[in-house]
Amino acid sequence: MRAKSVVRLRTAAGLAIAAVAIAGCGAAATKNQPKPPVTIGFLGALTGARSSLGTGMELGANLAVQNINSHGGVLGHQILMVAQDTASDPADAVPAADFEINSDHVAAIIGPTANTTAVVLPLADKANIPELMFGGGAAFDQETDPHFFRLSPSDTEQAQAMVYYAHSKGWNKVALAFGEAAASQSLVAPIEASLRHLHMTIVGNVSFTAGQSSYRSEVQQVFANHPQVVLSQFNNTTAGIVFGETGQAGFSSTPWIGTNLWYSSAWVSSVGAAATAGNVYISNSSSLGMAGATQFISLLKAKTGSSIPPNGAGFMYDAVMTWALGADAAGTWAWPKIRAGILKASNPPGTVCGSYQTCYSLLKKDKKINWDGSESTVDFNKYDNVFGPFAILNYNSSGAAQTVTTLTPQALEAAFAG
Amino acid sequence: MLFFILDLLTLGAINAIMAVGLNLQYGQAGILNFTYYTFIAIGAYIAAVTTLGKPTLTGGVYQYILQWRLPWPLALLLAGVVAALLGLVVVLVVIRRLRSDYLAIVTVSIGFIIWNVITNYIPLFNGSNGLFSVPYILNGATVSTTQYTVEVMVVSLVVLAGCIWVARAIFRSPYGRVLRAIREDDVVAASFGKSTTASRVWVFVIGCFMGGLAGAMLVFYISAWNPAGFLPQESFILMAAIVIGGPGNYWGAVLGTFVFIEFLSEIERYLPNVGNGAVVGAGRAILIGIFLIAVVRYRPEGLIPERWLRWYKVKGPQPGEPPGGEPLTPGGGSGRRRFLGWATSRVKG
Amino acid sequence: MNLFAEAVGFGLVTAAVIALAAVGLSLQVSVTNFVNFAYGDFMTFGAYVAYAANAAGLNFFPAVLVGAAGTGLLGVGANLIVFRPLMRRKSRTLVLLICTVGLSFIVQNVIVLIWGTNSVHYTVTIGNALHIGPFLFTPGDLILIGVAFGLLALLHLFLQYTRFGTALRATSNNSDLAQACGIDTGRVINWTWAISGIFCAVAGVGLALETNTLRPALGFNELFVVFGAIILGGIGRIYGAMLGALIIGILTEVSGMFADPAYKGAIAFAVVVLVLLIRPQGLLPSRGRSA
Repeated sequence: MRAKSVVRLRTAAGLAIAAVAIAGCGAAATKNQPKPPVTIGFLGALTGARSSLGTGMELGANLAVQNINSHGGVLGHQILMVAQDTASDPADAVPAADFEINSDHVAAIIGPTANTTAVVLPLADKANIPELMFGGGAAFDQETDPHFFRLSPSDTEQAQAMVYYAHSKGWNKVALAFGEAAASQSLVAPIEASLRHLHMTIVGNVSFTAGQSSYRSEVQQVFANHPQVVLSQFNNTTAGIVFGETGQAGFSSTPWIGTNLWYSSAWVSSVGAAATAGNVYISNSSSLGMAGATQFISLLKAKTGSSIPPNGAGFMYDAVMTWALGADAAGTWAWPKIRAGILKASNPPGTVCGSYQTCYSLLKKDKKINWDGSESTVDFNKYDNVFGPFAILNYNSSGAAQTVTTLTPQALEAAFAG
Repeated sequence: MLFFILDLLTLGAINAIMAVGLNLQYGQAGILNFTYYTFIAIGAYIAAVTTLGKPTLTGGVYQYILQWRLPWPLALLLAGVVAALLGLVVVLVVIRRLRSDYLAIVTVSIGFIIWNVITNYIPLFNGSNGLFSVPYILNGATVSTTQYTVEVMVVSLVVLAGCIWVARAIFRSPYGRVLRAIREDDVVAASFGKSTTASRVWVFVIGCFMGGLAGAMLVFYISAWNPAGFLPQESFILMAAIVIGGPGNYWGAVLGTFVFIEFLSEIERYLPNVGNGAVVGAGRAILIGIFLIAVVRYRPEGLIPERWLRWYKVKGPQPGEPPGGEPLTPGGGSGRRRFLGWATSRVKG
Repeated sequence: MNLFAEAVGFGLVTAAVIALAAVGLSLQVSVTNFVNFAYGDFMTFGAYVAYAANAAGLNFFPAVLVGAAGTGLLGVGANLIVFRPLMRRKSRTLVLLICTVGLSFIVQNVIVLIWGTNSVHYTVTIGNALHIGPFLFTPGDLILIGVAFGLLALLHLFLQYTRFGTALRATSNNSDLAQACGIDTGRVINWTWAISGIFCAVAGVGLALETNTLRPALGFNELFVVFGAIILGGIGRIYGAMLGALIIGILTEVSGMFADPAYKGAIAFAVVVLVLLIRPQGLLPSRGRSA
C-alpha cells in the first residue's frame, strides 16, 4: 500500500509573509511577542491522476492565507497552512489526514473532495474540527454531520446547468458518457432526472472504466443512435484516448458538454487537437457577480499574472476565508463555537462584504456580516451546502476558454422547479 | 514526531509480514510471484467486508458482499484463509509451468485479470471507489489515534512473530531443505524422489496466507480499502526489495522492505517538492532499480545472505562427536562452503 | 454485421502494433533466453525520443527513425552494461529477469523526470476516418498496418536469406553449438537487441498514435498484452508471436463489441491462461526443441 507516499510541504511563502507581517505590519506588531500561529491542514491530490486539481486548489488556499496574514491574521494569530498529498487515492488520504490531525494539530481541514471526504470526515469528527470540502458528489446533498461544510455547488446543480444549456441549444437527443468513478457516476442520476424534467431523450448511457488503453467499443456505443450532444465526465487519460478514437471513428462533429474537471491545461494537453476544435463546452462554477471575486482575482493576478483561476482555486480560497471569518466572528476557532461563527459570518442577514479587511473591520465593530465568496454566495443551507452560478465555457483554437453564457442559481431553480 | 515514528514502525511491521510471506515463495522455493500484492489486496478486502456490516451511505454508492460483522480476530484469520485459497487456485494453474519466465508472466496476467474484475464488478468490490470506515479493532473507536497506532503495531508484531516462527520452522526442517534443493535444480531433486509439485504448492499457499494476514492488518490500520492502493506495480517493488535485502533469508527480506519501501517513502516527506510533483517518487524508483541491478550483479545473495543464519552452518561430524555436528560461530572459516557441501553433510549425519 | 466488421478492422490495427512489439520481444527472447520485463518501457522510450525529435522540428517520419535508433542503442547499451556480464557468468534466467525489472524502474522513471507525467502529442495529422468496404480506417491506421507488414516481411527475408539472419537463427536454437561453429554470438546478441529495439520503438510510436496519449506508463500497461501474444504463439517463436498478436488484437476488439467492454482486457488474458493450460507450448505446431 502506498500509504507512505505523502509529502509534507511547509508553505515557505506563508512563513515568509508571516515573518514580514509579524515584523512590520502595524495592526499586529503592537506586542513584543507575536502570538503563536494557528495551523490549518490542506489535503489535496498533489500527485497522481488528479494532480492538476490539487495544485490549483492549493494555490487558491495559499492566496487566502497570505492575504489574511497580511491583514492581521485570524484574531491576531498568523495562519500556518500545512499541505499533505492524497495522491488521488482515498486510502492515502487517511494517513495524510491522520498526520495533519495528530502531528500538526490542525484546527481545520480543507480540501477533501467527493471521494476523500468519506474517509476524512470521520477523522474530523473524532478530532472535533471542521472539514471544508470541495466537490460535487450528490451523496452529500443531505449531509447532517455538523463538522461538514461544502464550499462548491452540488452535482445536482451542475447537472441542471449542463442540461439547461443543451436544451437551450436545441440538442434534445442526448448521450451520456461517464467514467465509472463515484465522482463521475454521481452526476448520472441528477442528469437523468433533469433530462426527464425537460422532456429530452437519452439515446445512450455508457460507462468508461479508467485504465484501459482503448475505448473503441464504448465510443461506438455512445454514438450508435446519433446523439446531438454528449454529456460527459471522465479523467484526463481516458479523455485523451476517447477523443482520439472518436475522431478516428468519424464522430468529431458532435458537441460535448463536460464539467469543471475538464477545465485545466492538463486536460487540454491530454486531449490534443480535439480540445480546441470548438465543439467542447464546459460547465464550470462562475464568479460572476460574486462579492469575493474582486479581491480573489486581484490576488491571483498579482501572484500568477493571470486573471483566470485554475479549477478549484476559488473554492479553496473561499474555504479558508470562511473558516477565518468564522473564527473572527466567534472569537475562537475551537469547536463548537467555530461552527456557529462560520454560519454567523457567512449567512444572511448582514452587510455583504467580499474582502478580508472589510469583513474583519466590520466584525471588530460588532456588525453582522454576510460574507460572499468568489465562486458562490457561501450561504449554507441546512445541510451545509451552497449554491452558485454556472458559466458555460468553450475552448477556442488557442486553448483558452471563453465564457459563452452564465446561468444563475435562480434561473436553474426556476427551470427545474416541481 | 512521535506519531510519525509510531506510524513508521507500524507500517514497517505490516510490510515485514508481507516480506516474510513473499520470501517463503521466492527465497525458499524459487517461485517468482509477481502478483503477490493481489493476495494482500484480497486479504484486506475480506477483512473489510467481514467487519463492515451494512453500508451506511445510500443511493447505490456503496456496494459490497457479505456485510458481516465478525469479531476482528476471526476476520483476520478468514482473510488469510481466503488469500491462501486463491493462492491455491493460482498455483495449481501455473505450477506445471516450471520455467521461471512463464511463471512470472502468467502470475502477472492472473493478477491483471483479478485487478480488472475488482475495479469493474461493482456489486462485489465497489469498484474503484473502494471501501471505507472499516471498524477499528480492539477499543480503537474510543481511544486517540496515537494510542490506536500503538495497538495495531503490537498486534502486527505478534502476527509478524508468528510468521517468522513458521518461516524459521520451514527453513530448518527437512521440508525446507527439499525446497532449497528444488530451487537450485528441480530435476535433481525430483530424481531423489522428492515431490516437487506438492512442496512448491504448499509453500506458495502458506506465503499467500501470510499475505492475507498482512492485508488484513493494513486495512485495520487504514480503515479504508481502494484498488488504487494495490496496483500490480507494487508487487514488483516488493520483489525488488526482497531481492536486494536477501532472498532466502527472512531477516534480509524484512530489511529490504524496511529500507526500500518504508524508509525511502518517509524520506520523501522531508524533501522539497522540485519540478513536477512526481519527481521525488520517480527518483525513489530509479534508486531502487539501480540498487536492484547492482545487487544482482555484485552481491547476488543480497544484503543479508542466506548463510548468515547461525544454525545453518553445520560442519560434518568429527571423531568423537555425535553425528549431526554442532553449529559454528558466524564468520567461521567453513562459512565459505558452497551449498551442496552443507546439504550432503546434513543428509549423512 | 457492420459492427463486427468494424471491430475486426479495429482489431487489425491493434494487432499491427502488438505484432511489432511481440516480434521484437520474441526475437530477443529466442536469442538471449530470458524475457525482458523492461520491454514496455523501451517502447515508451522510443515513442518519447521520437516525440522529442518531432518537437525539436523534425518531420514525423524522420522523428520515428530517430526514436528507433535511440531504442536500438538503449537495447545494446543495456546488453553491454547489464546483461552480458551476467550471461557470461551463466546466471539463471530468474536472475536476469529480475535485472530487467530493475531496468524497467529506471527507464520509466527517467522518462518521468525528463518529460513529466502529462500526456504529450506528436505534430502529425492522422486524417479522418474512411469507409473501406465494411471497415473503418483512418489513413494513419492504414499506414501503420502497412509499416507493420513491411517490417515483418523484411525481418522474414532477413532471417531466411541472409548470412547474419542464419547466424541469428543458429544462436537462438543453441548458442553454445553456434559458438562452437565459429559464430560470434556476442555480436549476434548485440544486433538482436538493436533490431528488437527498432521494432519496439515503432510499436511504441504506433501505440501512442492509436491511443492519442503518450505518457510514461504507456508501454508498461501494454506489456502484458504483448506477453499474452507471445505465450499464445509460444515463447521465442517469431511467427507464433505474429499469430498471437493477431488473435489477441481481434479478440480484444470483438469481445468489446459484444460483451461488457470493461472486461475486454480480462477476457484476452483469460484466453491466454486457458491456452497455457491446454497447450502450453503455444498454438503453432511444435518443433523439436521449444526455445
